[in-house]
Amino acid sequence: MSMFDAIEISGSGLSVQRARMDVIAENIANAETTRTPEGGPYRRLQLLVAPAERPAGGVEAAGLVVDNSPLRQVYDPSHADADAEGYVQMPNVDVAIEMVDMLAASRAYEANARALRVAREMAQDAINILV
Amino acid sequence: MLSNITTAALERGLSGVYARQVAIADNLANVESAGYRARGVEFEVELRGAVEAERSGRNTSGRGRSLVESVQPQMAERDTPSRRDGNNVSIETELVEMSKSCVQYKMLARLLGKKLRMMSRAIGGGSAQ
Repeated sequence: MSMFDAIEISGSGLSVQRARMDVIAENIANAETTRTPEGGPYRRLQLLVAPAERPAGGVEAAGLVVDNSPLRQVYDPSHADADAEGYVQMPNVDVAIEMVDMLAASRAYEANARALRVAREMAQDAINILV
Repeated sequence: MLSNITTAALERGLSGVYARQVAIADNLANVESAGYRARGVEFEVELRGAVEAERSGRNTSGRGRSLVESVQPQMAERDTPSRRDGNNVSIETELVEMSKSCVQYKMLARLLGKKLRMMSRAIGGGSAQ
């Protein structure tokens, strides 16, 4: 077991939580986007995470998946993207869900940051044995 | 004597606590991984048994490493209830365990340092600080 295993594991946790935060921010930013380059309204993205396939452990992003749940239908005949009946297809982003995910990601980020500090402190203590 | 029971036990203790910190770091990194099972590290019971066995003279397997020196930290899954995604990491449990490990590591490191300085003083006739 290397002296830096704990630090690297916590580092992987930090970067994965940061990546989740980016995806959440993108979802919130696009909560009202009705036109995308692929056509149609924006669809919510989700970052899947899984244990890293390294002997040392850690975590990694396992893939970015598109949420295919039904889109929101909003009645707004004045909207440029409204259909013949006056309905607009809005992204399937629920800002409340994104907020909850953001809290979870931020809490997990904090916990990983603390684990990193502890690992660093331990290494420092080990060095101090050699006085 | 450079390798006695105390230094060996302190060294195995440091190594065990560090292994525990690695497991905790892994648990915290995987707090959102579906199906991940939290793991903990145990070594204290085995270490204590080895120390007691050596103290009472039932020492070693002859040559090579002593009982205390061959204590290895054991990793085991935590059997706490899991969430709906099959993950059973509790951030609070891990943070508590981490605080304990941090203090434990500091204490062991300080004791080992003291012990080594004591020996170096004995060797150098007080020339070490």
